[in-house]
Amino acid sequence: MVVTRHTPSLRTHAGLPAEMEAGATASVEVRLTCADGCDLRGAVIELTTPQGEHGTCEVGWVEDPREGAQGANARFVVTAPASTGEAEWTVRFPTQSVSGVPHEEHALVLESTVVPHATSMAIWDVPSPLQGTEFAVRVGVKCATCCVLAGQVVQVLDEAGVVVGEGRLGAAPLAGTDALYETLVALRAPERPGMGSRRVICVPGDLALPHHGSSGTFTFRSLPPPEHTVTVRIVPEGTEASMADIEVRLGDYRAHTDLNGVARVGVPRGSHELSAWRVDIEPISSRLDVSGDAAVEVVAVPRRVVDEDAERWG
Amino acid sequence: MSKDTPPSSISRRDFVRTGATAGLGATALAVAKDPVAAESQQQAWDMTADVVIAGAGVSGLSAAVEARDRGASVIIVEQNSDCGGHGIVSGGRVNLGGGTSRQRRQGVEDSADAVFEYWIRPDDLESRFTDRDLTRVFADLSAETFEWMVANGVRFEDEVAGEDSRNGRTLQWPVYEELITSEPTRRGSGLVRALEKSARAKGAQILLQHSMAELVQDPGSKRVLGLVATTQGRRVRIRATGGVILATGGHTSNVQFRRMFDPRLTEEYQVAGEPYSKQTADGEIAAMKLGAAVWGTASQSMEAGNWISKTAHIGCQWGYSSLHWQPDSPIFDKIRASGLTNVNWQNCILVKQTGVRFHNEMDGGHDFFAACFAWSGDPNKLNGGGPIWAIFDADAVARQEWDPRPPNVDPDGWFFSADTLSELAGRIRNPYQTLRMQGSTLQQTVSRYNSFVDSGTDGDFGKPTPQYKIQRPPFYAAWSTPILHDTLCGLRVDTRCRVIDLQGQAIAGLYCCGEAMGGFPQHGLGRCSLFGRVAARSAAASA
Repeated sequence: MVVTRHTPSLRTHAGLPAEMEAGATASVEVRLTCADGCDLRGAVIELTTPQGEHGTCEVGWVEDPREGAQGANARFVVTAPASTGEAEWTVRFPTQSVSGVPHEEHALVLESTVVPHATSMAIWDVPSPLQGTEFAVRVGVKCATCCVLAGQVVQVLDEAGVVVGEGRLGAAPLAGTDALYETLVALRAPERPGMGSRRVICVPGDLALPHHGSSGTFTFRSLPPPEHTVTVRIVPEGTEASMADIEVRLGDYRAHTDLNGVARVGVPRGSHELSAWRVDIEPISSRLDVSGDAAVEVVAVPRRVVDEDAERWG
Repeated sequence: MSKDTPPSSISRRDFVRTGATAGLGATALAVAKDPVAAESQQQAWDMTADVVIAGAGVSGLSAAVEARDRGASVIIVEQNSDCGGHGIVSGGRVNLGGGTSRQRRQGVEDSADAVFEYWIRPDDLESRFTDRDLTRVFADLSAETFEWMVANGVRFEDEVAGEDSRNGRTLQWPVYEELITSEPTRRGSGLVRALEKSARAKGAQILLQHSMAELVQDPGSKRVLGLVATTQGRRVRIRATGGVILATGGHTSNVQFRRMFDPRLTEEYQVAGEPYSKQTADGEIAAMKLGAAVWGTASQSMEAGNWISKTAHIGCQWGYSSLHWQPDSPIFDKIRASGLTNVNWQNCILVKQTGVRFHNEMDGGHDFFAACFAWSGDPNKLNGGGPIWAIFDADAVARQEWDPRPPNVDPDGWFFSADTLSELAGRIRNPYQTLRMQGSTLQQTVSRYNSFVDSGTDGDFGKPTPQYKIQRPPFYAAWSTPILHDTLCGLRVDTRCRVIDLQGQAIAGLYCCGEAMGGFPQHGLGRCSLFGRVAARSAAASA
């Protein structure tokens, strides 16, 4: 007696993404059908991972209103390997009898490219240093999937590509962030005043999973040393608000006001733009020529609320 | 002066009605000869009134009060669940002057001629394109309409505002009536509620949640006989013996309609006053199906006026400067977020959906809007400029004293944060974001901008002395796409607010006022109320 085997078919219903980050997981759903219309519930499906590991899954039943159809299905959660490159998972319906009816083997190969984790960088607290002096910047690096990056090395390169500073990311993420690991990198300003640019790189290594490197650039302006002190008093007009702790700028030179609304800003000789702003006052802006120590008063008026309904007359 | 017959003159319909008072036999004779009555007898109507008004905003309510004062019965259909339209959520600005009692009491000299001359100035874009016949009507009825408002219970602040409160510039603010949102107080509610109270007291019937679906026109005479409204899936046919008044509001919420006047105004541009009510252009569309002309379109496309604004509150869907929704608003569940406000644009850069800067952020004029509308680089979306995002950092949050959390921001598509700029770009998802913002692009944009802060000069767009770097995490992206506001053109009407067709002929039985009407593009509610009254006089006279 010749035993006729039925022919099953596997197809992907919810497949793998084209790219998966190393170690990432993804759900896969396959649909199983028999050309002869058998109910394949209870059949066993095997999954072989890229690492050669095997697992099994029992076929269930799904009613899919989107397709207006019913069918046998199996769901897997797969984990991308730690190594990058093309990866294959084999879903196999082994030869087996379902409800007493023999069925042939059928296999389906799922593919995805395993890629390193993405990282990204932030650089902050970049000052305008005085020429020829030490300064520092903060660098933070974040893995897109929040891997621990503690201890990773950050390097700062000058315009010629020479490493001019280095730091190691701290043990814990910066407060208020998801997983931004930071470090302080000490640097030295050029001997001459002017604009400078630095490149920062971080290529994570010695991690359980591969990571792409990240980089960023920052600019700064190294300043000539101050020669004179300008005392700026902010005088409130039409407001009772304290004028303390307002940042006063004379170009790139800055200071904050004290409780009396007074800031003392050291500046070199020359013409400087005086500016100050706080959320409750209108911006202050004027031009100041400095040839020696000086004292100026500027008036702060309350912030004007713009009401376009009332503003327009025409 | 107007070249049309003034609405107060005796019309043919008045003559018929006068004849009907002679007795029953005369009445029957009159009805038999009356084309409206004859045509209407062929129709099955659910309700009948002398004047049927579509829309219970300021213009519709004004029309209702005026029509009742003239003895006409009134039915208003309003698609919303409450009265008010855009007027109730507005600042309530009422541009009416020309010699009001209040002006006189305050020693302000003004006249109808001064109002007229002010609103036809050739050197001013907002008055250059007005229809001068309509402007004359506005000027002549301006003071009278103010007194009429007061007589109908509208209370005004005891001031006549404006740096020069005369010569047609006079602006008066109603007293706020009820909470719409606490800051700033929406004074339009004072105007709306007073008019609504007066209209109801005088017997106007207001049908809420009734949407005008179509106008009913006699196929033979072409006279508009009434309208069909829908409510809860049911059609209600309402006969208008005197006329139908379209007071449906403007068109700015209707993307297809607004793009007739400016193809750049694609779907991403939100509208002030939404979501309380939408400016759907349903009145204009219904009338255009009957051959109505659109009028004064230059006013809609001119680079002046209040049809568009830079967002003043960012990170929320609706950021119109004068409408800062607060959580105490009874409709805040629909608004979802107030937005981060008092923006000093030195604290932010503005980028397109691709992550590139495009203009000096300190600008808020029409050069800025044109830059916003410029092509964003999406090959599949050539019109409109796509979303505009304000990008800033933790330092900016501290300087601005913002709290970037709900209900101040709407993280459901209108506000995003991340530890790095690259991540921030990847997180931006919004119904109108047609391209993925690339992290590298945003990072480059910010690095370049930061170099401008160092150099003190914006080498790309001339932002005056860029002040602050964007550097300290976390980083933020807040919706900051310009928002539309006024409708400044609409249906063509004559000085009696009769809707005019493309042959220059009045469409019998159809009137229009308010923002659905073209030719007098004034920002505010004065024109809405005034022309509502004119339309009502005309329709009531035809009943």
